[in-house]
Amino acid sequence: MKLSPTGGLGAAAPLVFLLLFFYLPLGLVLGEVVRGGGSLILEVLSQPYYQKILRFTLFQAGVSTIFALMLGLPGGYLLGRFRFPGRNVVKSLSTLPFVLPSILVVLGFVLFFGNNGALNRFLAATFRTSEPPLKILYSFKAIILAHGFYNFPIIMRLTSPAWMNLPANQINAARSLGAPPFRLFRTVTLPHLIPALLASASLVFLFCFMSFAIILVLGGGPQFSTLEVEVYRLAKFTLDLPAAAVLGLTGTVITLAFLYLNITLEKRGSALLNRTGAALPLRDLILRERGRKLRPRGVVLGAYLLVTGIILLGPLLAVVINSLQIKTGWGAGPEWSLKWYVQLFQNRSGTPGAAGAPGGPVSLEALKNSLTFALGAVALGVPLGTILALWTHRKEGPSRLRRPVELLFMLPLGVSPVILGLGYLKLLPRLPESFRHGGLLITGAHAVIAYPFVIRSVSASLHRVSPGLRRAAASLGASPGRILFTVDLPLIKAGIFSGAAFVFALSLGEINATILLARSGQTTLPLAIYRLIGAYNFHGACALGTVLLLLCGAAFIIIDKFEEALP
Amino acid sequence: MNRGLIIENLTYQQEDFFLSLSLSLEEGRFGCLIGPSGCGKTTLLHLIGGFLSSTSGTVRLGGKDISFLDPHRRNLGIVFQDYALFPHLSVKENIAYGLKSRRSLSFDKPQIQERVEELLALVKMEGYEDRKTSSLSGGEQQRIALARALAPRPELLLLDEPLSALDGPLRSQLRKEIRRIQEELGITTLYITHDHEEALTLSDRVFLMHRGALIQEGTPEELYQTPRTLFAGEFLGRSNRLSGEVMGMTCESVEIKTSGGTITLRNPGEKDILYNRGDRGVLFFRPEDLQVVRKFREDSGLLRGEIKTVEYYGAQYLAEAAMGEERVLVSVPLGESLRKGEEVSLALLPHRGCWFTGRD
Repeated sequence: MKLSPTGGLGAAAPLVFLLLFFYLPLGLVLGEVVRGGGSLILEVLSQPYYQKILRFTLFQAGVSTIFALMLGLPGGYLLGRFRFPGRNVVKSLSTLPFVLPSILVVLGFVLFFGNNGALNRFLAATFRTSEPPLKILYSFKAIILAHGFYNFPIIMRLTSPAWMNLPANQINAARSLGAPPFRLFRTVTLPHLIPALLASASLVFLFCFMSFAIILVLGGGPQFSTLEVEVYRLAKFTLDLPAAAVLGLTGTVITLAFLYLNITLEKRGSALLNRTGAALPLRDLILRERGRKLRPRGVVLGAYLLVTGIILLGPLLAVVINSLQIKTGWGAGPEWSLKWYVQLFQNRSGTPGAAGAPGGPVSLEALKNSLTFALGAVALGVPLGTILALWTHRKEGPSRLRRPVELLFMLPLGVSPVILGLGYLKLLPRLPESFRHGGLLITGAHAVIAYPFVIRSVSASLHRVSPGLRRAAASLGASPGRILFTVDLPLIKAGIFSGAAFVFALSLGEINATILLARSGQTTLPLAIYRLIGAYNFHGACALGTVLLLLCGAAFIIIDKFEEALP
Repeated sequence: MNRGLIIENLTYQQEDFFLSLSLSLEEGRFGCLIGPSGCGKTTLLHLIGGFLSSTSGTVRLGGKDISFLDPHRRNLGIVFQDYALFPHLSVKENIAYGLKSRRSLSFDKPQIQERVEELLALVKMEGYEDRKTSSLSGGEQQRIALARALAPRPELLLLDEPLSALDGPLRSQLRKEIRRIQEELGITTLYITHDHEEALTLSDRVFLMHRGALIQEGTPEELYQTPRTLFAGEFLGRSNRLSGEVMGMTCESVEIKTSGGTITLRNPGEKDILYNRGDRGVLFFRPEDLQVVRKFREDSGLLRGEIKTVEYYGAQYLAEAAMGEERVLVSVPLGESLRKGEEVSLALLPHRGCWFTGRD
């Protein structure tokens, strides 16, 4: 294939953007470490405190992943092997963790599982105890539970295609050769599932390793600090940038290793799915047999659906309900009211908000900022991701350069937002005066963090555009430009829309990089919610959280509509 | 001067695959490019279409050198194996795609509408304008793909195994349609296939490819009856080979000794083949080149064999006769009745059979 002018140009513009907004800041962090030399690295990494943090970061990510696997694997099996009413809803909901802002998870967790939360009140009323039966907030348990509850749908979603595409012929062959069920599972089913299983586990590990808001709030203090949170503390409060850089790079090396593992495993998994031929058909999930006897498997899986549904949606529901209720007095029941919303968006003059809480115009400003950053991130990230997806898919350019360049495009997936924020902080004083406005950097950071999701969704829809269609268009006299606009773009429209919704939702919920970069007047919805939680103004946080939830919910619905449907 | 397709010393190399050939197809003719899979048929189509760049050589169409033109500047109509209909466009929009792409055509809206209707009539799909292509059957998609390729009046129509995804009766029906349309329009057409029946029934000229080279071209009859190599002969239909030795020759016949007896090859086709006494080689002939001779005669020019199997093919029987270690297929008309184990004499019809000495 010849190198077309669009191919060359197409790769150049994104490369320049990535150089400025990703590689330059990352390089500055790296430069800081290199300047300090081996002695700096040794000095930081030999401190028992930092060693403890590194160990704890790995440990909590590992335990969280195992917990998420325990919760998510039955779901993958259920979704991949059975037909049942509401299957499509469950399938859609499994995308939720990708778009749900972590600050909402935190808020919902506190309201639902907290000492005075919905679950405890329910249990206390049922078992008539005066003490809250579950005390899990602000502890190691809270971190693990929140990570597990937040991430298990990812395991569910990524393993279900492997279950769905179990090779019917191989299984029938093994059966006809006399393999008993366990041997069948061990020799055919399990080898088929393992790549998807490990790929999903490595992704969840990556997410838990880079987790920020959950650790910051639910960890409840320095004894449960991770690399991410520590880098944030060092950069924002201690102002020890060299130490932050060393810790940040250490984390980056680890996350990149897991990213590499994930990409490799995912490739192997999808290669396996393409090779297997006819898939085993889905079965109906039957609760009762005709003789009205309960089927144990049906009952267990049904109960699983109920419990995980409550775990996933209960906290979000608690946020919405709390935002609409006021307590009228001790002992009296709650009343429905829009008071919190009114207070949030009302002019501050007249009603002084609760201690330190951003009342009035600050909330309005946060909403405005969040929308501005999100739309800016969409405007930057969607063309970026789309061009890169097209470039990778068409395999344009000299083949020797292609793989390294592709790698350069994917690298941002494995670098945590906090490290990126740290790099931007170092970039800031070097920028000309007119560029120092933090808004541009926040928008850029959001675009860099989210564009790999555009590549993902656009690539998925590009797989349906066979190269034959482009050849057909060319043979009918269409120039490369006309082919792009009349063949490629119409066919990948769905992928672009769902990618845009991803960028929008991720930017709205982003807190890790924003918290480092935002100056006064640049508060976003998650930051405002974080501060309201810090001020124990939970009702206000819930009202703002509900606004954020509605916005992300809209994005979620768009994604669900356009997402490449699982067969 | 030939205003059709002329390919001169075209070469293309990729890894261990090497293509090198010259070929010419006169204007208005129907040519079939046939060969086993992996012989380079599709590569050649991509070279003509401009999707691949050749290493050297030229492709000429209508007297112009198009070797260095981008695909969209070559005036070709291509029907792809999987049809490659645009899934997001209606039938009408698919057919109109080429009309809107070529600026030189400058069709306005009513003209496009008119041309689309013309083509739908040509492929007998009137009234399908607004259908989605995904709602069409395989045969219907095939017709629309053909209409789309023909709409901008290309100078050359290329068809890449267009019927391979369809089954039996539909295949032969569409085969006839394609030929009818080609004759109606008089368009130069190159049809790519691996099916010898398609090549023989459809074309004015057959081009046989093997391992990236053109090994024989000619009319279907020439290729079927006087293949220049064993490979060509065996690729184009059922055939037999019997190893033998030249016993003697006159100016119009050759005597060859085989395991089934000594046989006389009269008027051996190729004049330039030299026969030497004692030459070893292979006698090649088709099942229908043999005739069962009922009355057994101890006569030269007849093969003797024992019938091993008889298969019924509806219009004929196909019997297998053993001659020593070798087996020979004989086509037997329905009236004859042969039994397993029967000893028969077989005569080679005049002017049939070829002698190959070299290895392929």
